[in-house]
Amino acid sequence: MTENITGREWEVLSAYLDGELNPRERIRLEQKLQERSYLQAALTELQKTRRLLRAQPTIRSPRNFTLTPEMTGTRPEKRSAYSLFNSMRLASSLATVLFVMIVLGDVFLGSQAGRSVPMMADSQALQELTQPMEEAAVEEAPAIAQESMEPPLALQVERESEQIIGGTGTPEAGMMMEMPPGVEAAAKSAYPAEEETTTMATQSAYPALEEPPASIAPYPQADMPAQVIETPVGESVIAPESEETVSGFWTIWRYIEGALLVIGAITGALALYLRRIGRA
Amino acid sequence: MDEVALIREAKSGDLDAFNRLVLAYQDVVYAQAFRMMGESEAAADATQEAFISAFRYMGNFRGGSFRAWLLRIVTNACYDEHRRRKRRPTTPLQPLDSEEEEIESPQWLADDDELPEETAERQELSTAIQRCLDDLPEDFRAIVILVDLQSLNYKEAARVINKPVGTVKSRLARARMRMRDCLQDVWELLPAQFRLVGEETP
Repeated sequence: MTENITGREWEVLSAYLDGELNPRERIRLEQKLQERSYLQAALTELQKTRRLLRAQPTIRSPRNFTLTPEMTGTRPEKRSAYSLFNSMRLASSLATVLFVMIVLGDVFLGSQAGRSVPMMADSQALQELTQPMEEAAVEEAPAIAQESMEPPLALQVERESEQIIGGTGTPEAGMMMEMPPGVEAAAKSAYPAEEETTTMATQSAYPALEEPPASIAPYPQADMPAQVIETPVGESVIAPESEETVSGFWTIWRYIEGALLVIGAITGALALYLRRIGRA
Repeated sequence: MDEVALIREAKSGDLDAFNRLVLAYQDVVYAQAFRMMGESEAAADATQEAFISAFRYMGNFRGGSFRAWLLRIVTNACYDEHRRRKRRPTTPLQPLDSEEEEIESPQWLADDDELPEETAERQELSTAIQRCLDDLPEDFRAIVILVDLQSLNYKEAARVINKPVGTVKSRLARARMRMRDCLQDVWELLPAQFRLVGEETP
């Protein structure tokens, strides 16, 4: 009976059951249904089919289908490794920057301090030692004061080296031979009791070496000009104190440098390791 | 947390929020997959694939019915699974029991309150309906499942299959005609409550 129904009529009947026809189509179909019994029979069969399908029990899932990070391709353990990598990288960078800054500061300040401390002692001592001699030379031989500024210093150094190596020659003779006649006279007048001064200096300097006084002045006194020839004595008194202080100060910084170097190396290695893990 | 908030969190990559949506919709998605595939193992595979795809493409969800969006994904997953199984037909269409015998209906469909005869009749009817669905072309099967078993309206079904409403209307009518023809032999199996008595027309 329903064999004569066209595809279009099935479509309209199916939509009518679902309430998907517009009012005009619905009214037209209801008129046809009253007129044509085969359409009513077809509608009944469609209703049966539809009702049967809709009466089917709800199917429940046999298990849960929740996702794990592995299923979705996200790897939380690597994400945490990545964040740790960032921390390690930051720590390594900071340690390296601090290390470089401290090393640079160490090199710069250390070279300045290493140069300035002994030089200050030397220059101060020399200045104080040479001052009385210069004054004497200027007073007694003002005309040749300029030329006589150099020889006494050279003479002192020469004598000092002679004394250190224990030489027995007479440095004066050599010096005199090299000096021009005018200068020789000026030198003689400027240092009238040269032999005595040397003797005094030797006497007063060596006892100081053997028995240093309880209160050693850091710098030579102004009233003992000749002893200053023995600058090793002055240095031996001044240097230990300042070097101890300086070396103690720099030792702390060396420890800090070492610690920063170790921290930087460890965190850097960890960062590289974590980065490699994250890429794998 | 409501569905909108869960969807928003899931779109930002929150797997926990997405899994709460999975728990809310897994029955709907699995039912669609089971009706499309005709057996539980393939349906489970398609359902899992559908949820994985849904999580990956959450950014493409532009609002509207999340249920319809999931049904679209699982329907496409079932098409893919069908094509894959056609190339390698190694899995039986019906589930097997422990003795490798084909079972007519999965055990989870059983109702503890039923009499054994009722259970047998219902299982037989369910198996007949599933066989008729399996005989339908894929496009017809998908639309009759969406409208008659998932209770979507035509517009929602049209969005799921990405076709116009007119296509839904015509495919559904043809699918119902074929189902009617296929089920002619099992009308006697229908319990009293499934008879047409009392059905109202719109």
